[in-house]
This record gives sequence, C-alpha cells and structure tokens, in this order.
Amino acid sequence: MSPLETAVVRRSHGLPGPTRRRVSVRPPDRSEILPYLAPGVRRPLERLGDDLWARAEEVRLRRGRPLSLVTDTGDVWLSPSGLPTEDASSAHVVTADETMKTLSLVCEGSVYALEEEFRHGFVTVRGGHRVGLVGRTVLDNGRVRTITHVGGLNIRLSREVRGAARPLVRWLFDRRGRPVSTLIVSPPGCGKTTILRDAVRLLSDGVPEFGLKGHRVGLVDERSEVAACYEGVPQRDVGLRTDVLDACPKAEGVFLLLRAMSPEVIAADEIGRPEDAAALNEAASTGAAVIATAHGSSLEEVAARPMLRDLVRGGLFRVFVILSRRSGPGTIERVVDGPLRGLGPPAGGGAVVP
Amino acid sequence: MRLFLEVAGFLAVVGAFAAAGNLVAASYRARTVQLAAFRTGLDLLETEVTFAAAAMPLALERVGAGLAPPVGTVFQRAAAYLRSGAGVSAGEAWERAARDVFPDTALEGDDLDVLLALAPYLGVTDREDQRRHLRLAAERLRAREEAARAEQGAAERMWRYLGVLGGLACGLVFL
Repeated sequence: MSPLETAVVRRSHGLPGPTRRRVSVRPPDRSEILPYLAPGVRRPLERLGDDLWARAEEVRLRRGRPLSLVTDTGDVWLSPSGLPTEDASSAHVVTADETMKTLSLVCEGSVYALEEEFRHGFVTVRGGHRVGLVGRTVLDNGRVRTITHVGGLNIRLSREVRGAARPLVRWLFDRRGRPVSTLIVSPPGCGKTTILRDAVRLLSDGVPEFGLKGHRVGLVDERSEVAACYEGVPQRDVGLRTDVLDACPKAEGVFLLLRAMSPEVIAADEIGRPEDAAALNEAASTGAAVIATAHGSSLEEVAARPMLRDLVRGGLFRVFVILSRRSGPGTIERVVDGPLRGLGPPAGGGAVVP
Repeated sequence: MRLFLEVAGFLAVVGAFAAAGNLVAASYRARTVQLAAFRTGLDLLETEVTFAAAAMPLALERVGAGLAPPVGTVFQRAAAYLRSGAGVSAGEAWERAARDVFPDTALEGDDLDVLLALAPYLGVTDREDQRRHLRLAAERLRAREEAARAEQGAAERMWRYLGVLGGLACGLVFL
C-alpha cells in the first residue's frame, strides 16, 4: 500500500461499498465494427468464434503484417478463416489496399472532415470505438497537422458496462446525497472510461433504491468515447440529466457548460493539461462537483505529474479511485476517501477502502 | 388518292429522317450541358468539402439533389453506395455510380475517364488536397466542355441538314 494511502476516515452511510471484483464485460456488437473494415479484413473477424470475440479488446491492422487481435490474455494472429494462430506466416496479412480502404470506411469517405481527429491521432466511430492511426506525420510549426501514408490502425473496442461504477455509489454521493468530486486513476486499458460512463449515469439518474436523486451532469466528451455521440446523439447510456458537449476541448467545454447548462456535476475524461486544471477549479468554485479520469498507475504517480499535482493536492477531489486490470479491466484496486492536501512526504490523510 | 398517299409517304420519310438528325444533334447539345452540369457538381462538392466539411455521403446527396438527372443521379447513387455499409470507399462508390449511369448520359468514354480519375483521391486526403483534386477534375471537364461546344455548333447543323436532306433524297427515291 502506498504511504499516501493510510486510512483516516471510512465513509459508510448504508450504501454498498467496493469490493475487489472483476467487472462483467459485455463484448461490443460485432455488427458495429465490421462495416468499418475492408472486406479482406472483415472476413476473418466475421468467422471468429464468439468466445474469442468476447475477450477481444483491440483489433490491430498493420500494413504488410499479420492481422491481430488483442485479448485480455495477450495478442493473437488471425488466419484468413478467423482462427487464432501463433504462426504469423499462416495469418492474414493486411494489404496496403485493405489499410486504405479501412481508413476510408472509418472516416466514412471524409478524411477532410476529421482533420482535428487526425491531429490527435485517432478517430471515434459510431458506438464509441476509438480507431488509432499511425503513419507519416505532417508538421505545421512543429505541431502535428495530419497523418499521411497511414500504415496501421488500432480499433479499441468500447464497452458499455452498466453497473460498473455501482460499487462506488457510497463515494460518488455524500451523506446528503450530493455528488462528490472524484478522480478515477488508472493505466491505459483498465476501464476508466467505462467506470466514468457508468458513474456519470448513476449521478445523472440517481440511485432510487438508496433514495439518491439524480443531478444535472455536464459531460465534456473531448474524445467522443464516453457518450459515443453520433451526429450529436449519445450512443451510450450516460443518464437522463446529462448534457454532452461532444468533441470539444475540455477546458473550453467546461466553461461553456458552466455558462450554458448550469450543471451540478462536471465530468471529463483524461485530464492532464494545464488548462484542464484551471477549468476544473473554476467549475468547483461555482459549486459543481467534478468527476474526471487521469492516466496513472498510482496516486503518487499522478500527484508527481506537474500538470495534475495542483489538482490532486489542491483539495478539489474528495475521492480517488484507483483501477487496475489485476482481475481484468475495471478492477477497483483502491478507493482513497478524503482530500489529499498533504500529499507527498510526509503522507497526508485519506481513507483507503478496502 | 394515290398522289395524296405518295405525298404523305414522302413527308413521313422526310420527317423521320429530320427527327433522327435532330436526335443526333441533340445528343451533341446534351453532352455539353451534362459536362457543364458535372463541372457545377464538382464545384458544389468542393464547397461542401472545403467550407462545410460535410461528410462525403451527405455532401454527395446535397449536390445530387440540386442537379437534374442523369448528372444528379451519379452523385446520389454514389452517396447511396457509401451509405450501404457494404464496405465501399468513397472512390469506389463514385466509380461505381459513374459507370452505372454512364449509359444514360450523352458523355463520351474520355469524359467518363475524367470523372473516374477523381476516384482514387475522393475523400481520402485533407481539405486542401481535396480542393486541388476537385478543381483539377473541374478544369479538365471545362476543357472538354469547350471542345464539345465548338464541336456542337458544326455537328448540330450538319446532323440537322443531313437529316432533312437524307429524308428528301430517300423520299425522292421512293416516289
């Protein structure tokens, strides 16, 4: 256990507490993914067994190299008939034409309309699945303007897991049923977006069985992964009282929501830029609770990052949830309850559950 | 009575030949009109792509809706192919639609080649590059349209006269 994470207060107001558990993950509908793939790549995935598909986390296309699937137990190559193989030479090799065609399908024939997405290196497709791109970058004043000669695509499969954040209900709401500012910390691929989505849903809809009412939530979905909006309409359940600002930079989005939608909760995924901190502090000063996620494997690591240090130590967040994939994606590793104003040696307070 | 029938037959033959000549002449005029319509369509598509950044299916649909068939049909059919979910890229959709509709147009094979040359670039590059390719295709169409217009004047007259004169010649032979 981290020296920072020493138990001081354990919150208990009759709500369910967290347990280290494996979140039950429902695989995405295959029909959401297949239309974005070139026929040559689509065929092996159509023939892929349901059990392997259920464990799939990513589909990787690398031009001139074998088609592969990333699962919870590692990478597998896929043969043209959709069988997993350890022999790369018998796997389906992704051609240049298949790569370009898949790119065109992912962009719906509109690369020009996704220049901002190319600048960030990924495109979000219908269903909230994120397609990462690599290739030759074109720079403009030292910044990536676009990616040309795309040589590889990584389709990260988005999953909606209703109830994923349910073990956190007692921390998401305080004793009076008000939302509590929470930071979800995890390394990539540990389910923080999934947990955030469900937490947003719970905060928005409330939890009637515990007498917890719903709140107005403003979600800044910069990467379109949380609500997975398609033409402005959320494809994932983010709650009845959630207003989504899709594909908007977080800092600008927070101010816009505060001005326009008077949210009681502001939610944002993957904070980490200096302007994010300023915007979230501004949100907190208006009385809104903040729920956000950040990359990191521990609180110490996050607190050591210059961009996040002030947010973590400044008392904005009351609860810190640390995820891992020790027992699969979405494993709630630890919940630290209490402000971490004294974070850093010597260790400050915070309740650790369990 | 016989004279009446002969005159009527003569007029019918002349009329049929004149109509056939007019039909050929009209195809020259139609080609010019359709080339101009395709050029307008590509200009509109450039606007949709570079200013509105509209998604390609929507952009093609909007442009197609504003143009008369068969030119508008090419744009709308390309949009339909793109929306079909059959794994068709924008370039393939454009190529298929142009080939499908080509028999219903007055275009020549070289005109079709200009349209098909756009396919590999359609929708797969950034706005600036799309603008370049769309303008290039529009310019090539303009050049073909001007050549077609120059050809149209002489050819239209020739086919009209040929129709009437051919009809007269045939009619006289039958008399």
